[in-house]
Amino acid sequence: MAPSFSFSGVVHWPVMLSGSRQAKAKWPAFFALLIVFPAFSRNAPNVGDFPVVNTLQSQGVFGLDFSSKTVGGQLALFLINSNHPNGFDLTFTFANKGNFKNGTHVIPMTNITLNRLSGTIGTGLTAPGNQAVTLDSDGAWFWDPGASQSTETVNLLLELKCDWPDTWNYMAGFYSESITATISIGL
Amino acid sequence: MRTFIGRSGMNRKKKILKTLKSPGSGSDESKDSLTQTKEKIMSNKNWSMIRNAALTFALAAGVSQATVSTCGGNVQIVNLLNASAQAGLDLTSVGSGIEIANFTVSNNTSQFTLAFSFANGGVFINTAHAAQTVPMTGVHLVPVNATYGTGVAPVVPATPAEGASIIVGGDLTARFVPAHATPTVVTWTPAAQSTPTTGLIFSMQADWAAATTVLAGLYTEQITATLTATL
Repeated sequence: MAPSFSFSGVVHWPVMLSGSRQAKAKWPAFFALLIVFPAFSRNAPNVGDFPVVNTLQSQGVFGLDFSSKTVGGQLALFLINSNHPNGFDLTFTFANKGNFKNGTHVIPMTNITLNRLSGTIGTGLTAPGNQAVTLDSDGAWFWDPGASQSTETVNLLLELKCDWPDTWNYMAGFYSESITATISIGL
Repeated sequence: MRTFIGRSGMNRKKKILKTLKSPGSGSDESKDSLTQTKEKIMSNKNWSMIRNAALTFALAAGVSQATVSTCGGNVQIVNLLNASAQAGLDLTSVGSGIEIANFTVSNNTSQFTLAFSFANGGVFINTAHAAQTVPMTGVHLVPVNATYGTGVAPVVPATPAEGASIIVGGDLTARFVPAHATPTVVTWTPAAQSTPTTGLIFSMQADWAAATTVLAGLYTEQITATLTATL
């Protein structure tokens, strides 16, 4: 019952047009098989979980201006995507515990904050708005935006900011801090 | 041909397995058929295990992810030297510890060197008659208003020692007698510092004998100060 093709490229269904009434009656079943068969012709059944998306990308900011006292200087950017119903959690760990370091020389950070710049946070979660970052003795801070989300978090762009003093009386050199951010399924 | 197990299929699977476990139930023919079906089921079971393992791995991979970002910037080098010379010195009277110039030093590198070059070797020379001179008999630095970097030994004016040995390229922490040769260079290289030196003001003071036997006129000396930073 395969279709035949003419030279003009037009598809003809001769049997369907001119076949008996019984033959015509079998066509719906034939088409149903055509539709169903590919779905079951793979090596695995078409069932399974929708994959979890729980990703984090980050970028630190170089070239910070230490020539003058700065308020709300941007330290790093974080891009988050998450589709897990429990949402996500973020842990920030500052290697120098919130200090820019150049060998033994230190420029302290103050007023560290986490702030949402753009993107969509899942319904049920709370985006940070200049939320204070309070580092513990290990230089870590845990941010829990909420326990569950009913919609996806898409391209949520966050920034870490802080203040630093006028460095006129600091030794010359490159001062840096390393921030490790870890995303996990929300609790 | 594969056997696909949905909800009803799972119930059927349980029934078949139960039948196989029950001795004496069913005919041999049906047992063979059931055995084949069991193999298919087990085949699906293996696939299911692999699938579950893959899902577990994928889930675990997505549970936690860490990134490291480094942020920072430069504190620019500060290596500043300002100088101001004194005019209108009274050379007709004895000079003792008279300021001839002052210098302000700011530096935030690990170490610095301050050098002074006396164009006339520490001699005031008449601008119109080069043979007419008033030599300095002693020169020293006096800190006026200083914030020394940690590690920098403060400059302490030494006891006047006119007539002592001539120091060329000597240490400015001591009062010295200029070489009276052209040019005379003296340097001061303090120890390494761990905090910046900011706004360190030196007063350069000189001594001379009363110039009573020289022609009238303007007598000058030119001092070039150079601050060199060490990274």
